[in-house]
Amino acid sequence: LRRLASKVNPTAKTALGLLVDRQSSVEIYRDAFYRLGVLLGERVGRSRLGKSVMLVCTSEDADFLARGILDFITERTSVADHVAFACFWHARLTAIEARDEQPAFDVAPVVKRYEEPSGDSIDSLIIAKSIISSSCVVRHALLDVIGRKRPKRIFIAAPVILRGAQDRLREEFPADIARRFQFFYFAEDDEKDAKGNVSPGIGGSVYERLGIAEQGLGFVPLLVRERRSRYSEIRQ
Amino acid sequence: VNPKRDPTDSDLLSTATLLLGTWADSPNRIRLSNFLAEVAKRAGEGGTPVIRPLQSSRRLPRKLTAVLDAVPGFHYSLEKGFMQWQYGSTDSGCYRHPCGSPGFDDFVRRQVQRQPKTYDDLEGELA
Repeated sequence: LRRLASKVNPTAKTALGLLVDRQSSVEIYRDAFYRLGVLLGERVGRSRLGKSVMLVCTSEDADFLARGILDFITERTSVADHVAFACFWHARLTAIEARDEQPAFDVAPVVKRYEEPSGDSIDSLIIAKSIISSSCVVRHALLDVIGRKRPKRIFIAAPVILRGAQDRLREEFPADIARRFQFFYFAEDDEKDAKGNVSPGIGGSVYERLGIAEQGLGFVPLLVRERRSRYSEIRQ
Repeated sequence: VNPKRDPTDSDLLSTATLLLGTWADSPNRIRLSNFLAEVAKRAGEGGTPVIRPLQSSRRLPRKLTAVLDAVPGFHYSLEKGFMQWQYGSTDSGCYRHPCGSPGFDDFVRRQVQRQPKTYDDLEGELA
């Protein structure tokens, strides 16, 4: 069953519906994620972000979801003087095999990163993820950044989460870090399908629906190329 | 530029979980060599520069370094059997197949064939 978060506006409801609809084309699916990103950016942007902000996402979430969040925060709020953008590529390894009723336990180390420079400490860390289910990738992204950047506030933004994912993620971290977590989402689901995807979730595998399944880890988001090129020009 | 980086907490968690997970999945009695081989198998494509592969090359193949040296701004080194790399001040990584493994040999073969001239040409091959 799906439970919507409080005060979800009609635009978000429509976009969530387009993600779930298997008839949505790649372009419509991508656009729905961008719109949801803008709306999540609006919600995150209402919080006190401070002057130094880092937005972290995975490669598949960069061009649409994270771009939406980034566009809203950089163009329509004045709280962040500078947002450092980071994109991580995670390997996925099975650490503990599935057994009886227990699902496999995966780890997801970062094997490649695009990360714009920021200070030794930041005010806010925003993690953008298309869906939070096992929290494996989010956990590893947090572990990668928290030790290096010591964020005062941590915002975890995803259009859809699996029920209980927030508590499970908090339990993985010491209390002084877990209490900095603030979750932003529009829908909470409590079922998984035979393939292990949250149902209705985001309508199946995000790689397939975004049309990037064949490229896999080789996919390089346009946002990364654009930001790198702009960053190099500023540095010159 | 030294592309070597210290392991992050994410690398350390991956390593500890792989060790514990392999231990939990092992039979009650297991030879140490078999246990280590299973750890290496599970970590095989992880690019975690914490677990050194049981067998790996001590240097990168010359035919690969000749290709990589032609990419402006790209720096690399071999650390614990893994190729760590850096480009400019924004891009870095650890190639997930250890040097000398079949996956790494495929990477070498592809780059020799492709002859990338810029980081943009090379980037999609690095994860």
